[in-house]
Amino acid sequence: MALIVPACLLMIWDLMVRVTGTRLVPSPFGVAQMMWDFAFGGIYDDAYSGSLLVHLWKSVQRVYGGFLCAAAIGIPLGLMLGRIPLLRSLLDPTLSLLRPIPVTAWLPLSMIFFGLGPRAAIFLVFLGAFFPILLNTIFGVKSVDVRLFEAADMLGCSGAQQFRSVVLPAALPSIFNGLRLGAGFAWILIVVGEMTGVPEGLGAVIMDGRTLSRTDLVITGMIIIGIAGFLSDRILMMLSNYFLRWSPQHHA
Amino acid sequence: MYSTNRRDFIRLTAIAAALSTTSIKAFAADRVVKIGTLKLIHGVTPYFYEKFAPDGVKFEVIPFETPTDGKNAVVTGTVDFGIFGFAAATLGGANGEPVVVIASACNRGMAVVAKKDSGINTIRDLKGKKVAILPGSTQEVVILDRLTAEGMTIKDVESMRLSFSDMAPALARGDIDAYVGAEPGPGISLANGVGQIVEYPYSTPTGSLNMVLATRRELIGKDSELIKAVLKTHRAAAEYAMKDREAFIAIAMQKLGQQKPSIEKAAPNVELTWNIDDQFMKQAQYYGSQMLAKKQIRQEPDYKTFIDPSFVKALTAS
Repeated sequence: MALIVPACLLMIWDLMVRVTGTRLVPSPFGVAQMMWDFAFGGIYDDAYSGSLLVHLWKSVQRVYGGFLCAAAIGIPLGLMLGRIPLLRSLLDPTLSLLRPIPVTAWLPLSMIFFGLGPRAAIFLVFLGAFFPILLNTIFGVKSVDVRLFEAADMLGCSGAQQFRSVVLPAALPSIFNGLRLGAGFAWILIVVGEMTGVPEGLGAVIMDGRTLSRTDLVITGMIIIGIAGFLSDRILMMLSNYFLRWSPQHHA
Repeated sequence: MYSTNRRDFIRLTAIAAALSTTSIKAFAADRVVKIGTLKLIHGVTPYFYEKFAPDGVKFEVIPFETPTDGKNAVVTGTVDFGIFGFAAATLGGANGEPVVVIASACNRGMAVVAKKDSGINTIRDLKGKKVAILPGSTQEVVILDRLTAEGMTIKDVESMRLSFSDMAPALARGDIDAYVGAEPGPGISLANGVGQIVEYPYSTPTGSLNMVLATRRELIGKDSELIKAVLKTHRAAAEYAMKDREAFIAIAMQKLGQQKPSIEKAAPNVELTWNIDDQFMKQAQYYGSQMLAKKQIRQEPDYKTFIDPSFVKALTAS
């Protein structure tokens, strides 16, 4: 069933290319050839043949570097902001001001901070993933039922232990939501991050394809990023299911 | 609660129709021809077109950041004519895209620039260094050719993709050791004392061939009178800009937003052209063979249709 829509889209695409006779957009078969060549080589034998793993590995490193930094800072900060009103009133205005600035607008600044190269890309990915993780964590902590705290108090559970046994489990579904959103943004931003000054990575391949007039390469890069993003989301979902196995309603 | 009744609606429709017919009339009075060009000092010729415009034609100049964007704008009909590097034109022509080179636009305008006192004085010194190169640019074809001539390949340098306008700032920041750039970038690096010229890479059989004026095939069949008129303007503009250096520098400063010192450093390295002669054809074909050898294209374009010198030939004869 799931294959009906993609198959129809492919047919429409193929038909449109044939009818218009455009040379700027390759046919699905042309893209399939390029994907094969990109993964295994042997067809065109140019600079991109058989280089998929190199580019994918570079991008995965940057995506997860930025994403894990965002999680490492976003989750603890979110937990604290959710629990400590003083901290919230201190930081909330600043965060609210920074949040609406599009991450892509940080590109010129990040190139000045970090120079050319992968660090600027990691910073952009970090920024893009940071806010969804932070906000969802805050939301999760704030929405813990007050009666749970009262119940925990009566059972003699307080302080750090309360945090571990009440706050964290109750906020976990939201935190995972934030992580999934953040990982999605991370894959979106890798293309922007790799636009300038990095020779390897899926975003760099897409931009090279653009400047070299190789649309088949651009679409190949897009498909690979799509697949990689989908797989990384599945992994997060499996983790989420594992950690929330006590809660039937949070099974995705 | 306000609502539009039928009479109001009819009035509105009548007003809209009247307004749209007036704008159609305005269009008929002056034909707007869109010219795409690159944000480079050797791409300023179209800014002089207005001065030599034929009657009933208005020129609108649209700047692009990379040669391939300019080529795509021509192919998709976003602009009627485009000025960009011969490499981008060849990429399109080899793909079978309907892009046709009808005149040359400039020679020279390239330079290999390194950080001052970095010890990079020749192409060989680039070995193992971070060098910014824009894929799909004429500069890329030329530097690959120069590396071959020195017995090196692109794998001997650490190449980074940067657009022309990012190269001079990146050198100033120290992110790269050298770049293969387009004016005014090298002029800027010279003027602010950051860079030194490694060489002006015109010693290959490609010579100093750089940018061309191209249009899409359908316009040649449909509107050859317009093409003749535009080329006449193009020739007059190029010759005027080459004669009147002050005007050339002034326009370049204004359109590229650069300071006088850097434009003055860049200007001698620019030669605005219009003609397609035998030498051009020879260099162009060598160019295609180079791109094929370097696997940048999968077959050479069909030069009989990809380059159409008939319009400039008619112009020379007149």
